[in-house]
Amino acid sequence: MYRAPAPVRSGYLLVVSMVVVGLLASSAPVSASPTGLASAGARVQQTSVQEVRLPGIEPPTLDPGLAQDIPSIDIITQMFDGLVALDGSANPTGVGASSWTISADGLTYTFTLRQGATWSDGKPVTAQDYAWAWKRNVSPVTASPYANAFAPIKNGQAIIDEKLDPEQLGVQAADDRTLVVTLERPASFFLALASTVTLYPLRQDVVEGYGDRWTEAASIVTNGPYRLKEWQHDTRIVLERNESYWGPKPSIGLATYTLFPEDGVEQMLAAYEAGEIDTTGSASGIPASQLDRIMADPVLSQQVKTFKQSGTYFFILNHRRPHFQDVRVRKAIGMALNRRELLDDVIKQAGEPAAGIQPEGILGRQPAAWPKEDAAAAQQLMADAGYPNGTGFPEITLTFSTSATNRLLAEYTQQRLKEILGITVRLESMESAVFLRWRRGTEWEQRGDIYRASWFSDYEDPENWYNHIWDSESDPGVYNAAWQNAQFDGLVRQALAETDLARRTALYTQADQLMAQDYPHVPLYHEEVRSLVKPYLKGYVPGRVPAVAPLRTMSVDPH
Amino acid sequence: MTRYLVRRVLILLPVWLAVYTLTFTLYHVTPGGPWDREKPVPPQAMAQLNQKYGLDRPLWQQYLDYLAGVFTRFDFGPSYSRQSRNVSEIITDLFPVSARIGMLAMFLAVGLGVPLGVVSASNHHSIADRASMLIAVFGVSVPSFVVGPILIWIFALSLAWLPPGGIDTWRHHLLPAITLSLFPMALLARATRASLLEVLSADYVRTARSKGLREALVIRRHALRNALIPVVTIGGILLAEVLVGSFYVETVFAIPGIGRYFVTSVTSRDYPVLMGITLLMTTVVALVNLFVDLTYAYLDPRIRYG
Repeated sequence: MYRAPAPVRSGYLLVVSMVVVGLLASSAPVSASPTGLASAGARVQQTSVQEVRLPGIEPPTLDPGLAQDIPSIDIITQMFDGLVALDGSANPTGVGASSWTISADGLTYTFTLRQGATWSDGKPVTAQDYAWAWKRNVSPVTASPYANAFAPIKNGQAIIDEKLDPEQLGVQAADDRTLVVTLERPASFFLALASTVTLYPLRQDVVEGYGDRWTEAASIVTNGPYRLKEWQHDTRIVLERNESYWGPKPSIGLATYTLFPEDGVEQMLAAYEAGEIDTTGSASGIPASQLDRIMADPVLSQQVKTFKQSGTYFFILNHRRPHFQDVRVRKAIGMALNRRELLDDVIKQAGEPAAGIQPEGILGRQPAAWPKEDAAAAQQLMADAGYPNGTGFPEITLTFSTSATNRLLAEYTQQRLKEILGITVRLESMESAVFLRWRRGTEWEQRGDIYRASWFSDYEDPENWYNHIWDSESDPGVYNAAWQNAQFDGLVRQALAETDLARRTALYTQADQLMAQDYPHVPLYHEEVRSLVKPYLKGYVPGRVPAVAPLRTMSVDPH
Repeated sequence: MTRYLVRRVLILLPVWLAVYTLTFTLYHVTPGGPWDREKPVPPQAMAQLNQKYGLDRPLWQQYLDYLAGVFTRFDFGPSYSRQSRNVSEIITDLFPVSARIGMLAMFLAVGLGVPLGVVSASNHHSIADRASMLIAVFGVSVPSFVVGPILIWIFALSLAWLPPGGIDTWRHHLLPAITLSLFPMALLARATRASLLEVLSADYVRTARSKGLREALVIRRHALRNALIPVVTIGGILLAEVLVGSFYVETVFAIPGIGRYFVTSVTSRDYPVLMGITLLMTTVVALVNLFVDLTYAYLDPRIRYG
């Protein structure tokens, strides 16, 4: 064996050399990180290019056909255009399509594509690109989580059920610029559906040529006002303006999304305060623990903005349970809560106390028809139902997926129902994946009472609420929880086929009133996002659906 | 020596297999699946996803499929939650980030912890001893998710010397490495102190002292080397732990590392990623242990491997 000169020092040397070797071996990615240098350089050289720095979360995919979550949809909607987009009042406006006609029977939609719209590699966007994308996305082989978006199209459901070949989907390219869509039955919400990412066009040669990797920066081809310049996974995404885009040229030339952990709301705030990002973004808001400090800060409090979302949080009541059969009990639970107090003092989240379940922007909603908060009336309802001060009412369980906010919300509800109605509530929290599986299972059906849920519009159309989640046959296990009202079902099914806007609105209005009377579930609040936005960032406006701020409306003042 | 090394590396195979089997079983008895979302995915889409990723096959077949992929193609599978990526790419991207910070943290921990322990032991019951141990108690008991935000508040937000998060340049490495180093530093300081105190009461140290050697020399030449053996044992465990990243440190500093990714993947039930990271952790622990065992021989010539 060898002899070391001095143990202490050699011990040091050992570690020092280990670390040096380690750092050398791994320093390549640090110093050679081309983007850090490049973007810093770009900022100095090209002062004329407006750059915005936004927070993001690593998108699970940038494939419009597979996307189902906000981080993905955020980036995808900047890079791609669909046939139409819904404006702030849910009216469709042409984007990829310059015009369209609807046949008198409401079954055939003929879209004329925009002249001069091109892909980021210069090739024109054709009707075949749409037709191919739709057939690919509906195909069971693709396994798109939103494949059911194609159900209203002719043969769509049969293809999803693997009874027909995807080629038989009712969409065809009559010529390069004419797309003809045939529906299974009249569906007044089809244009709203056509605004979603699942129905965006795709390039067959690119998707097939690169397989699962076609969405990487080196291979992706897009048709929107921005293109993917860089995607360094889990670190950053850089979008640059597509100079060959047909439409008006946006002010922002370069957008850098720093990617944060999924629940990185504190980290986003720290980065914002350190001046590394221009807004805390539309995804997470402001951490409850920091809200008081920010509101008390004379500078920061001026930068707080609140944006409405098309989404609602509510309690699902299990209608299979005998004690929820009485509408008076259901109403009493909803009326006993104080939602303003819940939002401001307990969970400290932005939000609008919800009377009815449907959020602003959904046709037919009648919030005034729903029961109002009233503790005394709630007590009376319980007494009328035969449970004065909760006497004789069984202990019920409130289940939620584990999070700090959900726990506060549940504890508040537990206390409130005990105090006002005398109902004993047991709290049960589950890890999120366990919870999501539980609510689809027999455990919930047989023994569950209440759980906390939410729904966010996929597109701002009443179909996405009344038919999609409340019709007793739509998705019984999860949202309507065995609530059945034949009259309601009849109204919303009739509205689905109705193409006349006034008659359609009337039908949904009646349906909402019925729902208000029957009070199947307990609305809590409509989602709002509270965010910090630097004063020099103009036009930062996250939409109600999806909660994504389009780059095309933003600009950055010199600062 | 070579035979010993080969044997130690070969023994990894049954270890891997055991870890794989145990982990595979655990994943499949844990409720929840990779396709459940707040917004429910329709049953058909779920069935199609199961089919696409082979989750509709019998469990024994899934068990063998993965093994076959690893042994024949060195393929650790796709990621369920990252459509364009596979497990090998994710690990190749994220592991170096965690390892870099871990290495730096260990460097700090050894560089400060061992001297702290030496000072403590050689001035037993003095003010220096108490002060050192106070630091050590602080390091062991204050968790990184408390230290991290405090450091961010001081150095990133108040003084604006360092960035609050991310991992672009060397400056991004400092705060996370310091945060991560506190716990191992404290443990090493206490281990060094305890071990050195014990050695200092041994006969041969008394002999050295009675020869008239200066105390500093006694410690350096005679005591410390022997005292380091238990320290190296603990250091090895700590090294393996910090190399694979800390969920808290990587979350607090928004670092894309393997420790945070592992926990995220548990939530999303991304089985192949979980398996890949678990096997990586097994390998790191095994290799660090081997390294520690080799260090014993270096520190104590009586230990030989053949």
